[in-house]
Amino acid sequence: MKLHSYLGGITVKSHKTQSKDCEIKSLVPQADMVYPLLSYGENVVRPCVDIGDKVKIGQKIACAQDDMLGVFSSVSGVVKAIEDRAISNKTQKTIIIENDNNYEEDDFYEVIGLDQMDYDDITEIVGKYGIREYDSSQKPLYEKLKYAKGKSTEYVIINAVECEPYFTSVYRRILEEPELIVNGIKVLRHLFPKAEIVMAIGEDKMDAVIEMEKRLKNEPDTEVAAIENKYPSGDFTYLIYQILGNVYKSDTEAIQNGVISVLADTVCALSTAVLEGIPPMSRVITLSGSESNNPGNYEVLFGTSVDDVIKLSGGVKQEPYMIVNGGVFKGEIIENTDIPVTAGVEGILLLSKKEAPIYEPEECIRCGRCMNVCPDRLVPEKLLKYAVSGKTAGFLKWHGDECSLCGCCSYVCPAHIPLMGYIKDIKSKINKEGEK
Amino acid sequence: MEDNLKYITAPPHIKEKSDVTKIMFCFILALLPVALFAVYKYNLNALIHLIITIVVCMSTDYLYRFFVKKQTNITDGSAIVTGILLAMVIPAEAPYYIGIISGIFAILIVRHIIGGIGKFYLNPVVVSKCLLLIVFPEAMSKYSESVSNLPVERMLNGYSVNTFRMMVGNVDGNMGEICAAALLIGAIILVVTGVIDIYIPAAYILAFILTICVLNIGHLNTNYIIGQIAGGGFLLAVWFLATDYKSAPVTLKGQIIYGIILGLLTGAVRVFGNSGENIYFVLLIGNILTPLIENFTIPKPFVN
Repeated sequence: MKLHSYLGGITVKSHKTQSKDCEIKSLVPQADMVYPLLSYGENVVRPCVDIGDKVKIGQKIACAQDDMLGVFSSVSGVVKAIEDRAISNKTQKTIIIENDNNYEEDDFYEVIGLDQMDYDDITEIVGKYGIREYDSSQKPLYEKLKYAKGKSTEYVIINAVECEPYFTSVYRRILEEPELIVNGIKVLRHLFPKAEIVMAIGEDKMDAVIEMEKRLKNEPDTEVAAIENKYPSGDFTYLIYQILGNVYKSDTEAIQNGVISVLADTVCALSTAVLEGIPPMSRVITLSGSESNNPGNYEVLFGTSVDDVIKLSGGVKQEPYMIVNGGVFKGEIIENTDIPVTAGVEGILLLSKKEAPIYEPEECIRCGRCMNVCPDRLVPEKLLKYAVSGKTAGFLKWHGDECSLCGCCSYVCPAHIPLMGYIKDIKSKINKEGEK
Repeated sequence: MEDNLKYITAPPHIKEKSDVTKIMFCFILALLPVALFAVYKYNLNALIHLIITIVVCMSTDYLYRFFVKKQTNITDGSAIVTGILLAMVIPAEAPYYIGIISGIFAILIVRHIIGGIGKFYLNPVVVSKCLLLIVFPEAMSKYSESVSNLPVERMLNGYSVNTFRMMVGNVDGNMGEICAAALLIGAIILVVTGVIDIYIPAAYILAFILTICVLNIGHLNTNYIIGQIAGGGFLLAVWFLATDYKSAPVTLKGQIIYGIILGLLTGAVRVFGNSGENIYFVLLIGNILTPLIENFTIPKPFVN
């Protein structure tokens, strides 16, 4: 398949060897399970259990109107509390369940054959099971499916690129559980019978590409694309551009034009939900970084605290200089490890001072390196100037609103100026003003 | 600091292993052949000039930062680059106070007051040189021999020049302008180490050649064109002054337009003017136009 290449972006040391060959291990949680009730737009998720109730694995503990966006218990036990907690700078309502370690299973939904389901049935299952995109956006998949209904979808892109350094969880899943992805693709095929399905994998993971090509040989109109090994190749806009040569600003714009993209992890969740009737209750994350005793890929039940994950995986060598929730390019430093793993936690990185130093910024020398790496073809140097002085008009004049916050500019800046931090700040300020 | 922490801990958490000091080191490395040739040719005089400008630049920079309590990154080397360049644009026989005045003026007034507080970036070397040319015209033309040995002046007065002597620096002029070969080695270092982009120099040189050819269509020969390029600070201006990060446009289109404007103006002042030093005033005009050029060349974003 011929790919289009985009300007900018950076080639980074991948740091993937630490966890690349580690088989996925399941972790058995020790501490209490915490389930944040994440609402989406007007769909407010409310608890449907009370304190003291006994719950089983797979039992629904919260949902929005019409049973949508369900939250399911991943252990059996007793509801200990329903309270507000601060999770990554936001206060969220959470349900806390004390694990009884019996792992009793609830009756799952009845499985109906794929042939007997139509588009709406599958959308409903996806909605009720609360399947979300397995990245920090956590956008409900059913919103996408609902929006795509009736539009002639020509391309379905499965994103398994993993261009962020350190991360190997998707790669391991392709090698260890290819059936799950193949089954997911079958569900997608059923949803979009006329579409061409393209599975995008980073070209640095050639064995995964070959594995998928072998598995998908007999599937009609299904292709595997080896995506250029640079950051941010796996980001929505650039990924679609590389495969189709079209530029779409947002999910909705792409769906309108017949292109829908889903993450590989989401496809796996779709497959287990539709074909096996099991709601999403766990995810595979990469735990890595040089301060980790056992870097690797772990299957973690939703609700397990990050602290628990670090401890169960074998602990740390030394107190990490920083703990990052997510990738080194997009993830946030977490001070408090008492937050739960959800679909939005792609990985946990325990980094040393040497690999993730924090620099004191110097003066900008206007060398223009930020501009050369910017995949959005903006001039970060100018955006920084306006962001620091808070001049929104100038920021927008230099197309600051088109910045995708990939962080390449901060990465290359020889003066170590945190451009992304400043740009993010002014962007959220502009968004807030826009809402008013 | 508390406020700053929010930004410096923002992602990405890994950084490329590059820093300002390394970039400045590349500039110093590229200037080394030029500076060494000046010392070889003018001996002690050149060395003293170099030491004066570098020391004055560094100490002015340090003292300014100390008094306004800005962080003191004296080691980043940009003051050294400015210092070397300042020495390169004055004649070896100039009195030593020239170096002191130009160093203080370049760093304190141009870099920190106009560029820092006033946020109007001009090349300190260019502005300082222009000031010296106006205020100390005699001191700034103290070449070791008679003016007749300045290649560009000879050409402007209708004489022919020996381009080989210009290549190897067997002519007279400001310390950094005389040896075309040393300047070209420096240019290669700048391009190979990737500290400058080729767009400004390429546009500048092409526009310059085109302009002198058109304006001199009657009596053209290769000797004349090579002489114009190799002499009178043209190469120093193209590779070391026009490419100055702070005073040149950052946008790609802007860099090309900037190069073309400089090339046209330099060609014009070379053909109609009577001094090789006019090129510094051209560079000053270019610097002043930079914000305007940038505003007209905002690149089209990938997504729109």
